[in-house]
Amino acid sequence: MRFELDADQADLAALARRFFTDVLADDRAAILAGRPGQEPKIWARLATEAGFPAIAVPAEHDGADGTWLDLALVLEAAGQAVSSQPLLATAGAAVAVLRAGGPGAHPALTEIAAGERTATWVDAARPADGLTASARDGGWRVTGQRAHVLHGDSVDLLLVAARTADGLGLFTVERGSASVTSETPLDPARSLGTVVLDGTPATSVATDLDEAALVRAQAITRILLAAEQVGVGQGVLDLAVEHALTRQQFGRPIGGFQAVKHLLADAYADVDSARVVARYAAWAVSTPAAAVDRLEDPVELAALTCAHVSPAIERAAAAALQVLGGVGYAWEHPAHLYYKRALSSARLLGPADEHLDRLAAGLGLGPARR
Amino acid sequence: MDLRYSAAEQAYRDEVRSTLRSLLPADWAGYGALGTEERARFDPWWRERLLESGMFAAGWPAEYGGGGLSIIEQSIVAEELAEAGAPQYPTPNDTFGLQLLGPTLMHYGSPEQRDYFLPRTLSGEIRWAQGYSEPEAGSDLFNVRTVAHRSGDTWIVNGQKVWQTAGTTANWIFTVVRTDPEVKGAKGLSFLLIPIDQRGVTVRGIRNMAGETELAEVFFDDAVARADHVVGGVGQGATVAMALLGFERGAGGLALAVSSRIELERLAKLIVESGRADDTSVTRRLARCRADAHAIRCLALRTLAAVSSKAVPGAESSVTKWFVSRYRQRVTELALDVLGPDAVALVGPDTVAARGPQPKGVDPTSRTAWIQAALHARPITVYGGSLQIQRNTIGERLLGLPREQRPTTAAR
Ligand SMILES: Cc1cc2nc3c(=O)[nH]c(=O)nc-3n(C[C@H](O)[C@H](O)[C@H](O)COP(=O)(O)OP(=O)(O)OC[C@H]3O[C@@H](n4cnc5c(N)ncnc54)[C@H](O)[C@@H]3O)c2cc1C
Repeated sequence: MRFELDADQADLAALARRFFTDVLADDRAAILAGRPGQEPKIWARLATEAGFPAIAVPAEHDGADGTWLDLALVLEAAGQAVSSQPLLATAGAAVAVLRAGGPGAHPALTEIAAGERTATWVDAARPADGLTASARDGGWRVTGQRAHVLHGDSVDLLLVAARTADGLGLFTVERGSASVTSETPLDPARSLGTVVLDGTPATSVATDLDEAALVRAQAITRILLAAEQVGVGQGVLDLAVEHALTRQQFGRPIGGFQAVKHLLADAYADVDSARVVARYAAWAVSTPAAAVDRLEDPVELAALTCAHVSPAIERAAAAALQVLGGVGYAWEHPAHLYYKRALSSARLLGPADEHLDRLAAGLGLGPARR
Repeated sequence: MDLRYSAAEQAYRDEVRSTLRSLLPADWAGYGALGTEERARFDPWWRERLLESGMFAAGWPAEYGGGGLSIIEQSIVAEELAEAGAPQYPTPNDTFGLQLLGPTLMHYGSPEQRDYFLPRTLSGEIRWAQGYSEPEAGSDLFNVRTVAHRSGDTWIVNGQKVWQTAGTTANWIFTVVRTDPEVKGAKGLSFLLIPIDQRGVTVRGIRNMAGETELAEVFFDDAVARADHVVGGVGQGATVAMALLGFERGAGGLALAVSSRIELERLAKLIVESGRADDTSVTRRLARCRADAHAIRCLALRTLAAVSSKAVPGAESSVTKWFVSRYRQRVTELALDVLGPDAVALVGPDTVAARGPQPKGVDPTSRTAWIQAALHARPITVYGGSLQIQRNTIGERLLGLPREQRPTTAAR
């Protein structure tokens, strides 16, 4: 039994940290210019040099055939840098839902693995209700709309799960053929789009999608987001600790004041326990055979994970701002990027109460139990 | 990262389950369902059953009468006992002898000390209390005033210890005493074993806020201890005392996660009984506790995995303590809020005095049980390194922030 990363996982995590440190300056410049995630050079390096989008794509689609845990480790590193790259959307949400679409070879997975196209799933948070698809002229048309779609205004491909006459289908839509408006995101490092589909041409991936598989893909996306949140917490804690060691007041480093030390200790414990919970979840959804005692169902696991990680990381980011003093409030300082990422991530994939109601239902209580 | 149990470990779990089923009475509903008198009859009987089956002193090597189990097997035993609602340490002094002193003697004790104390601890003939704290040595653990001076083949001990859990039922106490009066702080201390049943030792019970005489203070007036009952060498007291605290870690974490889950199921029943199954202001707090119990399990897996690969659990154990101690308070505060106006009077069967979750079988609607649990949860952020001391440890050892002033333990 081993909780520590094994050598390959540790190497991947180190590689990812190096990568996101390397591209930090360029990525920040794009964020501050209001073009988050839209620096093609960075994505090209991320895709071809580092191969991150291919991690969780099966070998049959020319992917790296890695695990969700591998991807989670890379997303931790992305979070630590508040990267604006659409990695969670492309390599996480989109791949998760495409894999839910069944084993059939699909070009989208291959294109993602090759780093040729970025993608997002318009419904990473919600059930497919309100999105419909119909067959027309030998092709498919989808209708419906979604707000706050993760990188919805900038990726190449939109994945849409929609109701058809026969059941539930999964479709790809070229972003260029949908009507998408850019939102003004709370988190300036993560673009969001409102997507309006109105008889928009779509390509079918699967026509008999299993609702449960869809829900499972959402759970995986949430667990991957939790990994990214852990990185965000670590990144902002690092900023605050460095500040506490160097900033002097009353003739000594502020980190020597116990009130400050205890704030940071709480933040450390929050980030550390969140990491333990998030890594456990990523490991568990990566481990198919049940040689594991009491392995939770992924949906329950995602609820347990989000309910723990989101508030912990929000607290850590808020504590860090307090330790940074006035400078943490300044636009120039990166702290606000972390804080805003923490705030928005906690809400991006469904309200906290939804997770809590699911957990309460597991104990026979609350509105979700019937 | 790989948290799977091996096939052998899985098989061992099944074996433990069926052993427990065969050992426990047919109508067993959990220790919490027993009345006070039934418990008094059950405890010594159950201690014998555990001993026979090798699950008592599970981690001790077989040569000392233990089960010789790996840390993972010990954890499995602890989990399955929690699941069955059967106590792992049936009599009040067992944890001190089995979990703390036993491993310390195996590591630091002389062959004579092991041969004398280990079998008698196992049989229950010797019942240990932990004598670290003193009136002037609380968080400042090594500000010890109790002195021992050498006289021929003996140590003559004078001073006072305080807050000894199960001190009134103990007949031996392991202590940290000052054997070199010239030195302050962590140096000049020795780890000394002292018999309690002698003229120079007085034990006075201390009643806790739940009304139980659970603690004691122990006075030494020219008490006598044998010269060869110093463990680990004269002057090594601080090292041995710290090592002992480390032996506590590892095997019990997953069991705590199990009993926390059982407690939440009981709390859910109380919520239903109180007609608040649809009150989200309560159900969502319960859900948060459910997520907390899951986090306790994940933290326990980390520790177990580390200990099983022989890594010494370091300051990360402070994170676990930080989390678990506050959780005990959160969950029991929720129980009081569910009881609402009924939390003001003790009604319902009395319970086991336990600082962890109550064992399986406790009546979910017993107000007494929930109220006592809430009272028992308060000192968890005080003893064994208070919450503030854990925060200092995290801040200094894990984050590298400037150290606190340590006037009395600055000996380095
Ligand atoms: C239920 C229970 C069982 C116990 N069982 C045993 C036992 O079996 N054997 C035994 O030897 N002892 C036992 N103890 C004693 C326990 O270890 C001490 O209570 C503990 O170490 C705290 O010491 P203290 O009570 O003197 O409090 P103090 O150390 O005086 O602390 C009082 C307050 O000051 C804070 N404080 C102290 N120092 C600092 C600092 N440097 N920075 C910030 N805050 C600080 C503490 O956090 C606490 O809030 C037990 C205690 C309890 C409550």
